[in-house]
Amino acid sequence: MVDWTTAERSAILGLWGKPNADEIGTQAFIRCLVVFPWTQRYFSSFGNLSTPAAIAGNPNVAKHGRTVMHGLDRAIQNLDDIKNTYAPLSVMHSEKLHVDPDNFRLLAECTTVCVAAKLGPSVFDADTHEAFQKFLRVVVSALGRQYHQSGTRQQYGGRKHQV
Amino acid sequence: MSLSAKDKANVKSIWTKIQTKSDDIGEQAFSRMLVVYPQTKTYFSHWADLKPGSAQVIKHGDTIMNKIDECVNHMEDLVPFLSSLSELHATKLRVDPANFKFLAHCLLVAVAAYLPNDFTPDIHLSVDKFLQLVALALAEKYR
Repeated sequence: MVDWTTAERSAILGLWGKPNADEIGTQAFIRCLVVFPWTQRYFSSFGNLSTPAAIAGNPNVAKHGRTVMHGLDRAIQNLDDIKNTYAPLSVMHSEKLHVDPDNFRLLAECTTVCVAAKLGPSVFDADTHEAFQKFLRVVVSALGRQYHQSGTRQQYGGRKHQV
Repeated sequence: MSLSAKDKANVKSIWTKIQTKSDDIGEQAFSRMLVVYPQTKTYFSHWADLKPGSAQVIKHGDTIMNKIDECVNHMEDLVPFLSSLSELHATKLRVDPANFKFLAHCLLVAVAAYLPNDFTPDIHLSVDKFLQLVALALAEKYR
């Protein structure tokens, strides 16, 4: 279980709802695809991602940004059990979507930058920044937690198969 | 990931705006690093006060920012330009170079906070690459 100080808890809950989640979600996802272009590998079905302008104007990108950001609602509502709350999502990202979990960290970085841009240095002060990054770190860790070889084991009747 | 001509132009362009708030941005970046990544405080245990706004934190944020400002004019020769600073960090300060990215990240956040309309995704990309190369040049003399 994560130890949240009273100040951190209050900073995180206070932050939620200040910036518009849809707006931040879209902006963070656009930024991630532009700043870390290898993250585009998971979205070949999204259409034109060839330039920053194309990414910014792509409706599939906007929609997915909103979906991902609203996924954080679950973490906010379960601050004391993010690990278990996210277990099924983690399994999905590992076994169905096959997303490299380092990408979660990249999106978290972009989300922080977007929130800072939206709120400015006085509202998004150092303590709020710290609490928010700690929160995202916990989410990122929970999302990466169910990545293991369970699929392989089932396939080969219990023996590890080395490729 | 080397800097293209476009990256260099992007960095120079955003830096003319950063320069108007260089002190604030430098101070914010450094003080945020100490708060958001508390393990970085271990290098400053000899300071009296590590809180944002303390004299030593402000001064050191300025020192670092001034040097990064100079790096913008040395994007073609970062390694030789930062040679003696690299020597200092490697042999005397012995800061684990894994920490450079924490300061770089806090600098990106500070720039975004102060210049939200100018720090577009493609400018962010170029600045991120630039700061990574600065970090690499700073780590040059470590081993």
